[in-house]
Amino acid sequence: MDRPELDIPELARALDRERILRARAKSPWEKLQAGGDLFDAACQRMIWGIKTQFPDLTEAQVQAELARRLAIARRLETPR
Amino acid sequence: MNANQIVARVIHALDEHNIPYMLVGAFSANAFGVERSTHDADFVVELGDGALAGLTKSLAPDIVVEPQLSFESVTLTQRYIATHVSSSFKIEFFLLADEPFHQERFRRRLRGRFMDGTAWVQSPEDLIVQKLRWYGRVKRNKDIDDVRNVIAVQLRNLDLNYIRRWCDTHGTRDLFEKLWNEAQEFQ
Repeated sequence: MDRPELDIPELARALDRERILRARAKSPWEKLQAGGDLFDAACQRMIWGIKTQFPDLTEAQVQAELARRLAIARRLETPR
Repeated sequence: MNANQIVARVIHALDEHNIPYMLVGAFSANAFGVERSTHDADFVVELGDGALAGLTKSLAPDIVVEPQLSFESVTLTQRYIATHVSSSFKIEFFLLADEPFHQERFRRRLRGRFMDGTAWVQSPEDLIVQKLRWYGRVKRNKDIDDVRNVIAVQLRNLDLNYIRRWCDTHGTRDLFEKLWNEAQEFQ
């Protein structure tokens, strides 16, 4: 059975529009906290990943590995 | 302590020592554009004599300020870096430069609600002007994405004369007009 062809650029534009409209619906002061909230959520997921990968690590070792991974993420963002 | 509590703690310490500041970077991009994660909070600060010592003392022991000033290659400004020890969340204090644009954007900063208090944040126009300038120097995708998002979200709220004046000065006017035209589909 033939599937209808996806119009990827059109889909991307629709998703962009949705993102922009959602951002417009909130005040700047509501969104000011978003960066911090997303950082915390990302750290929780990274900790879960570290514990899954290395179940024998102590809590201090997990935190050290998290710090190492965050440092890598920062370095990757820094232009060379 | 979560990331926003760390930022609120820093703001409290800056206020306590009467250090004028504004949040820039991802925090301002989130306020005026589309939400995204960040590893740090960037402040522009006007540090008077002896102010750093007082700030360092107020933030210790859980937030440690590195005593040496470092040069930042994207912004071409000097900064102090602080780290919240248990979470590795970074806080960067960029020194307010004498340059006319830096002085004017500091004067135009906006104040709004943050956590249980308030915070000073750079304006959306200044975020656009500054990030276009950096993009002209160092092609960081996040800078151009932030500019695109802020233009699309703010659109008719922007002071276009102000943006165009500084973009002309910085040689980024063509890039701004291109992004402005692209954003018209989000009317």
